[in-house]
This record gives sequence, structure tokens and C-alpha cells, in this order.
Amino acid sequence: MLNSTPYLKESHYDLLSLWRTPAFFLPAMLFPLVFYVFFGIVFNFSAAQGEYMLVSYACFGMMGPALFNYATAVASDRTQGWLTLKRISPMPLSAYLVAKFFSSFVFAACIALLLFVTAALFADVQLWLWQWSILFIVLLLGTLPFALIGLLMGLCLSDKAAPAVVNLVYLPMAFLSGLWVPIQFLPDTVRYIAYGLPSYHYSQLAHAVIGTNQGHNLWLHGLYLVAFCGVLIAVIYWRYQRLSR
Amino acid sequence: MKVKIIVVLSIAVIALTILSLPTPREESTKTSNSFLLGPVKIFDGETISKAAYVEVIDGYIKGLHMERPDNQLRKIDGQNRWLVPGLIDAHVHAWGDALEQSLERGVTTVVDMFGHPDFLQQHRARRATTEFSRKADIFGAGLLITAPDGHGTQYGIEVSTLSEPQEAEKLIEQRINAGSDFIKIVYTRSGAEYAHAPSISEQGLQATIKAAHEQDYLAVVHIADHGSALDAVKAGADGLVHSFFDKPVSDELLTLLKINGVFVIPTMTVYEGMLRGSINDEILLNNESLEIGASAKSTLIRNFPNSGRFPAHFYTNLLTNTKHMHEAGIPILAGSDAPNPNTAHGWSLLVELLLFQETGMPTEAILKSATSIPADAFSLADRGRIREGMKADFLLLQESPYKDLKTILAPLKVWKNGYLVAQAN
Repeated sequence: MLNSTPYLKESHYDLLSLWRTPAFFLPAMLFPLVFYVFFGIVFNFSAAQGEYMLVSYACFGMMGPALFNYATAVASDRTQGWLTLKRISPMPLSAYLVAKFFSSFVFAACIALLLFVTAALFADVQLWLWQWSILFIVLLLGTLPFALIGLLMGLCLSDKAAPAVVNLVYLPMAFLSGLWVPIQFLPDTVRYIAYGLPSYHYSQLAHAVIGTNQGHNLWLHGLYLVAFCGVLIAVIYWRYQRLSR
Repeated sequence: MKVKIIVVLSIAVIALTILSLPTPREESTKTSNSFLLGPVKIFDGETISKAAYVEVIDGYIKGLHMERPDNQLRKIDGQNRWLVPGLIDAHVHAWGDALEQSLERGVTTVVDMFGHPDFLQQHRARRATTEFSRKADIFGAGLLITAPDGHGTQYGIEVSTLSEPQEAEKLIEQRINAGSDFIKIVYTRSGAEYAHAPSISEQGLQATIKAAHEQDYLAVVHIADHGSALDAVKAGADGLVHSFFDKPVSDELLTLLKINGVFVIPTMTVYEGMLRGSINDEILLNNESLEIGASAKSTLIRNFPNSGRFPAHFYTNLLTNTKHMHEAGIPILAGSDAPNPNTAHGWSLLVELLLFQETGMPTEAILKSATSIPADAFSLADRGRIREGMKADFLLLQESPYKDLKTILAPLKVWKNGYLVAQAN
């Protein structure tokens, strides 16, 4: 029987530590919102419908904190020796990871709700109840690959390098996947690049909920994301083993 | 224990938030699409009808009556208001929720002048039925015919192009197999002085139109200047999907248009954005009684990069060209070119009609330009008129459109396939 106490405790304290650093969580939460209001509602140059923009910017907004939360937190925990301390403590290391994933989940849920409410109030977005619910779940579960990317970065980069590198990965990846400007407006080359990016497949799954995906097989998107997670887990394991030596 | 409470509370908050998010209005098919509407005054697509009652059975107009017939049908009081056929927008580019947005404004049919064939295919079956729908019906060109890297290739939809006139037949066959209802060709005369994308040659244009006609398909041509219009009409085009403003229309062109029976879709609204840019403010944006959605606003306020760099008389040319063509008896069709800059689905067709008024076209001709004339031009047999056998697509207006055409901006009611789909508050 798995002892769940350390998991709960670690999750609790991880969330608490986030809560006590409003300078991190407030901007991280407001950033996607501001971005959505600016480019998804006010300066919507692509003439796409409100629903479309909401899904795109929600994907964009959810990826970010998952990447940042892991990359910056793990990088600083590691550079400051905090991770080493945790490893020699009796707590299972998986509790540390689960806790981090849990907080980014909570984060993502808050952002999704914020965006949903904003879209409903200011962009006249109307969806069926099942669409709202499934969109919420897809958005939430889909943050896993990005959390893993963040984790890998956290294990590889110093605390100073992490935020910069995350931005360098996050923003181009979002753009190339059509999260800012709908993918059909981007040149062909970009669309081929998009096929290789997890954010593209993530957004296609989310778009499928409102029927605005590009019509590829949904299982392929899902399969890609699962495979992507698998590969990342393997790389993370290898990297972690190297760190432990 | 505490943890459990927090978890339960959080889930409750999430669930409550999601539950309180807005959902689309319930699609009510409770009321059937058979009824008797009247008394109403009727513009039947051509002129004022003598009838006062419209009998609708299963979404089709069964008959028009002067006196109220004695039958069991559900009665709808028309309060002696004006009934006009559902509007037809003869030039749109539809994707996303374009069909919903159009219908909300009383545009019950759109003619797509280039879009993804899948979208057309997806909505094709519905147009022949009278089932309940919140979408306008769509007829379309599917992919257009253009030169490699020509206009139409820049939007991210894969378009097979025409390099040599010999390829025309093959290309037309491709379009027909992909479900195009007619053929749209993009053409600019070589030597045209303004900046434009590469164009097919004049021989290519002629070959394409010929190939389309051999298959009994309509061939309409995108042009933007007088010279190209002349070439297109000489090559046998059935319609021009834009007007032009670089020159006043010549007598030669007017005569050719007339002899060949070519129709013209001036798309003045989109040109107005380049040349003047005040009509949307004047009619839509400064009118607080209109509820214009955020996405419509976003395209209405957009500008073309070359806006405002044209001489002032170009706008006069635009107005007088439409007027002269109409006076010469050339069929003028209302088309918005939405959602290009300065336009929005639905709204801009109404603006186009008001711009026609600015040219001095008589009101009845303007009303025809969005009803019977486009229906005839594109052979849409079951719409565009309030007549027996037509679809029960119509708008009930507050005032007489003959007295105040602006009344079309806010119709009291819109019926599509005999179902009430929009209603003023």
C-alpha cells in the first residue's frame, strides 16, 4: 500500500510556497489573460471567431505556466541544493514531482477558468456545457507534456538560464503551432514544422472540442502526445541518473 | 479532513463556474415550419405584391393570398409590416461561423467566391432541405483559378494553379469534381500599372472560361481595373465579381456587358474601405441601437495597407460606375466580400445596399440586387423571391424599405426554411 501522506504533504507545501510568492503566480496567471484580451479579443486581426481564439489562447496560456513552474522551480531547487536535500530525506522523489505537477495543475485550472469567464463576458463566446467541460479537461490533461519539457529544462539549466530558455522555446513553439495566428494563415513550411510540435497536437485536440481542428485523426494527435511524453520521461530518467552520480 | 473539504470545495467552484458559462440558445424546433403569415405588405423579389398573406408548408411557400384563407394553419400576425425575401450575399468568403453570422442579419444565402472545398461540401446537403438551421445556405466556387503565386494563393489554402492555357480543361474538371458550383477566375491584364500578384494570361483566361462553358458551368472573374474587366468580358465571362474605380466605365465596356448579359458584383463596401473609409462608422459603428459582435467589429475596423493612398476621384468613379452599369440595364448584384477589411459577414451586405443608394440606384433595384437578381444570376431556383414553391426565407421589417432602406439594418424577424431564427428584442 502506497503511503499517500508524503505526497499530500509535499503537494500542500509546494502549493503553499507558490501562494507565498505572489510575485510569481500573479504575473504567471495574468500573462495569458492579458495576452488573450489583447490579441484574442481587442486586436483580433485574423477575423477568426471568438470560440476559435479562446481555444488557441487557452492552449497558449496553459502551456506557459506548466513550462515555467517546472523549469524555474526545479532549476533553482537544484542549483540551491534544495533538491539534494530532498533526495537524501526519506521522502520519495516521486512526491516531489507529483507535488510540482499538482501545483501546475491547480495553476492551469485557475487560468482556464479565468479565460473561460473572460471569453464569455467580453468575446460573446457561447459553448455547450459538454464543450466547456471537455475543453477544460483536455486543456488540463494536455499540460503534461509541457510540464515534462519544463522538468527536463529544470534538470539541465541553471536557475538564471531557465526562464530565458523557456521563453525561447515557449513563444516560438506557440507561434509555429498557430496559437497566435490561426494555422491556416501561416505559410506551408510552418505547417510542416507544426506537425512536429507537441503544442500543435495539443491545440488540435482542444480545437476538436469545438469542431475547428484541421481534420486530422484525433488518435494521431493523442498518440503523438503520449509518445512525446514517453520519450521525455526516458530522457528525464537518463538525465536524472547522470545527476545522481 | 481539512484536505478533503478543500478538494471538494475546489471541485465545486470549478463545476459552478463551468455551469454558469453561457451556452448557445436552445435550438427550438417545437414550432413547426408550417404557418400562415399576414397581413403583410410584400416585396416579392421583383416588385410590390398584391398579396397580403403567405402560406408556408414544411418550409416552402405554398401560396400567396389577398384575403386570409380559411385553414387550420398556425397564424402569425404580420401587423401589416413589410416582408422581403431572405437576402443573398453574392460575394463572401465563408469559414468558421460565417454562415451563422450572416443568417443573424437576414442573409439567408451566401455565394462563396473562394474557400476551402471541404467547407462547401460540409454544408452542401443542407441547402436543398428545409430542416431547422441557424446557418445561411451556401453556394460556392470552392477553389479559384489563378496563376502560380497569384491572388488567392496567399491565404494558406492549397490551390492548384494555371500556368499554360492547355491546363484549363484539367483544372476545371478538378474544380467540378471537388464540388464547385461555378468557376471563379482571378485575372489582371498584363501591363496593369498597379501592384498586383502574378496573373494568368489573357489566353489562359479565355481557355478557362471556354472550358467552364463546355461543362455548362458559370465562369465569373475577379478583376480590379477597367482594362482587365474589358478582357474578361471579351473572353466570355458570365459575371464580374468586383467593379473597378481606376477609370469611369467606357461605353465600349458598357455595351459589351449589356450584349453578353454579364452581371456585376461591385463589392463597393470593401473598396470604400480603401478609398474613403467612413461608411462603417456612419451606418454601423456610431449607431448604438445595433448590437454588433466583437468579431464583426474587429474586421469592420480593419484597413487595407494601401488605404487612403488613392486620389479622391476614384471614389466618385466607383459610385458612378455602379450607377452607369445599372442604368445601362446590367444586372447589379449585392456582395460584401466579407470578411475582408472594412467588412463583416451579414452587416456588410446591408452596408453595400446603402452604398448602392448613395450611387442613386432606385430602391426597388437595390432590393432586387440582393434577392431575385442574384438568384437568377446563379440559377438558385428555390430562393430570392416570395413566390409559390420558394423556400420560406424572409425578413419582416419595421418600416417600408421603399421609404427608409435603413430599416433592413434591424429586421423584426428573420425566417429561414420557415423557422423563426432571429427576432428583434
